[in-house]
Amino acid sequence: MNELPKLNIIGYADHQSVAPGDVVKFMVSEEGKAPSYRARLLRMHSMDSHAGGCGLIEEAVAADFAGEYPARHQSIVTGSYIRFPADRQPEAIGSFTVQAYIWPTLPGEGGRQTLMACWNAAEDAGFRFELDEKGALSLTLAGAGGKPVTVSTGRPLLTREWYLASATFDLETGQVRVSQQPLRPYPFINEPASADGSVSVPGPWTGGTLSMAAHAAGGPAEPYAGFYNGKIDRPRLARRALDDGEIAVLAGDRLPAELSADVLGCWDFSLDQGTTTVRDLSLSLRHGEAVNLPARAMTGFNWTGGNNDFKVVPHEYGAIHFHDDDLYDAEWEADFEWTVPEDMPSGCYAVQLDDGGMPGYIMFFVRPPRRLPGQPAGKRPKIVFIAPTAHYLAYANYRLTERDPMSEAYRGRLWQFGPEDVLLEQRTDLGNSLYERHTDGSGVCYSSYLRPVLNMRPNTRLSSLAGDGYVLAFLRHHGFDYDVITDEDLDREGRDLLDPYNVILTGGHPEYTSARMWDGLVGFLQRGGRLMYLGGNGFYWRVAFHDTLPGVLEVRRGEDGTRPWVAEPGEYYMSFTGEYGGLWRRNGRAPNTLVGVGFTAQGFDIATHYRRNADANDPRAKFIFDGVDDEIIGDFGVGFGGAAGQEIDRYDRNLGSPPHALVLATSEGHTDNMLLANEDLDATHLRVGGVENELVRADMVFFETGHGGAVFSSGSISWVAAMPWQNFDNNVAQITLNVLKRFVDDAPFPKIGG
Amino acid sequence: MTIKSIDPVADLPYAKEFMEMPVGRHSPNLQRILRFMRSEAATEKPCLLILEPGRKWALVRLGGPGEEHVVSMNRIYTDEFEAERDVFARRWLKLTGQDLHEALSK
Repeated sequence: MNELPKLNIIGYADHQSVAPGDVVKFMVSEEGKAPSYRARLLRMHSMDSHAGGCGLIEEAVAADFAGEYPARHQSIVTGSYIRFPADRQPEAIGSFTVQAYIWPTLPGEGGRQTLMACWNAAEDAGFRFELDEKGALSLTLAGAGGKPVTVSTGRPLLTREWYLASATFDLETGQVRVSQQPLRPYPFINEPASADGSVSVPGPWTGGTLSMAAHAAGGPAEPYAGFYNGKIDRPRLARRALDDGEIAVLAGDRLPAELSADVLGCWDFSLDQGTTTVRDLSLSLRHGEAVNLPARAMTGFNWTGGNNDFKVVPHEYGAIHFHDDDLYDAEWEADFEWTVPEDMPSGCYAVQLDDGGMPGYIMFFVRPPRRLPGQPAGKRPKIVFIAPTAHYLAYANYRLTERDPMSEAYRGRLWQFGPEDVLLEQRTDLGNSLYERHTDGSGVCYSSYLRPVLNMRPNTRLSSLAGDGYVLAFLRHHGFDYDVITDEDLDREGRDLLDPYNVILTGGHPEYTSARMWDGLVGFLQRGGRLMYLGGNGFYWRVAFHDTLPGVLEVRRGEDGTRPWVAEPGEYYMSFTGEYGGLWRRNGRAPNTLVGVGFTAQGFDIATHYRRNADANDPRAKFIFDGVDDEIIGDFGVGFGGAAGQEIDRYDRNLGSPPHALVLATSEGHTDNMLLANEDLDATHLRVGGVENELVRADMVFFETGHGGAVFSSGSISWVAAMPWQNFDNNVAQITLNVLKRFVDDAPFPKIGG
Repeated sequence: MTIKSIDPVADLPYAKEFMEMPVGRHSPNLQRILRFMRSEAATEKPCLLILEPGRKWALVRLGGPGEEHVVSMNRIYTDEFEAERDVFARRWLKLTGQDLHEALSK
């Protein structure tokens, strides 16, 4: 076998959720050699063609954009930096001082890295304050037409150590001084270092582009280059060569009055947290814009550890962490756009891109029409499926974890992946998921959909899309009418969005939840709504969408939890909202309080079955088991051979599971690859596997909310993948159907006090 | 001292256990062998490229420097467990120098 299948056409939309009347743009790039491609609209009724399931069900839908388009390649430049508008560029740079506290994370790797520059790319003139190829602090100066001159300390900086870095240039004398002062010096290897030089370059320079963490490169495809990895705190620019004492004064929190006339920029990154604005305290008001979402609310050089909240000690959070692989918006040109027809049924859709090879997909969701607060929703179905777009964002472009040598041992099986994962391995420019680490090893805390997301397509492995598709296929199989909304919709609009519905269905893995989403769900339950949580490891991470930037999610992998990376000390509060991030369980809202169960274990070798408990015979649960007499439930399925697997949840009173909840069935027979969650492991021990540990189990739970509504939770990701078994004729699908039929019914469940 | 080898004689019963049941509840000794086998370097690690979900897989390995990102190992499977057994036998041969099928047939 020589030719492995390849994916060559990719794209994205500018919205993940659209309503009738909205205009959505589609951006496409051909990665192979096809001269053209065809685009068409599909409604997705399922997302997986796995043997044993219901098959991939795509329905072609007429759309006015359908047709043939010329193919072209569109490129992406990753890397975060700060840029300034044209009216905030320095008119001329002659003598100057540039300085900042810096915490480099990859000094000496990947070439020169710019800290601050005012560079005229057209004339190769100006200055670049940078780390040189060896990782030493340096200043590069060049006059128009002249050869650049670099003065370097010659002493590489240590990674993850703070320095006060400065450089001065006196135009009249030609004197250059570059200085790196470690805040934590070590004998022999990290001592203060400086370099002096005398250079002859013509100046002053005009037409330079001021920037930080990269410098202007001039090209339309790559307007900036020299991306820096690491933190910058308190960057300053002055119009003359300051002495060491003045540099120390200028490095303080505020603009010193005695230097204000000479200061061209005195930026305070602790202000405007959560935005893309960087504020200048100087009289120049040289406010800039952070591009590609470098990490904000980061500990500064002076963080004491006395407080972890940037809102309480803002002056200790004056750093921004830049990465050369940050990406928010690929900014591709649109190939075509589409106005969503007024009568478009709500559902999951995709634009399929056919270049003659493996087709590309751009997935999106059509939600019900938008309405003003208080405006009647009109006639809507009683069922709404919440597409877990926060989960999709978190997993967006999840890269092959097989690069971790232990990943196969952890999984307990050979790794499997698809051609889209292979392309992702090749394309480091497509940005990261929230499961990745940046080039410098720091965790990725922002993820957006304004870029091609290769694992948003049918049959993909590393997202919950396939399992979620089984829920949609189940609804279609039984002829239920339903609406689809997304996590982001719920975050923006809250409970009002849920008002028309009797019952919410989740997918198999609604892992990421914002506070506004959580509050919306609670509000829905408090007015008698019913919730079917058909997954595992749900409502686990507290996350935040951005108030003004569309389609981007933030997570902080805080002090506990089963997680792919761990946030740095002091960096647990989310920059977008100021909320303490991490596990909901550590925020006083364990998932158990919402859905009766919470994450307990994960394992990916096999899935098992449930065995009925005595609670299943309670009269309150009679409707759930109508027509299901089996003792064993779900000993089949596409998701590793059973309904209880992958990631599972347990009922636990100590975590807030309602005392009146019925634990209908509990899984059994897990292997030692089904491992107890970190947060339940106070100290390491050997009884963490499913063979011995009694906490390693999936509990299926039902309870009434006391407001006329109720909650049903399956407690397992593999549940939804068992539903389509034998054409939805099985006890998992029957239980789900029984619950749905009763939950759709307007008749209230028993309320508190009768 | 950490155990960093497989004994082709003492561990043979556990190899037999694997060939009979590639996934499921394994004995502690088979778990030890599997953890050792499965912790090999990423670029040598056999993986399955999905050709048809749940039906057909290609044996590949991740490429190293100067190679394709995924390198075909010229083997197609239509049974997941057949793939697990085949890779186990390949690793047994590599680590012990012995043909597992031959050893088990004795």
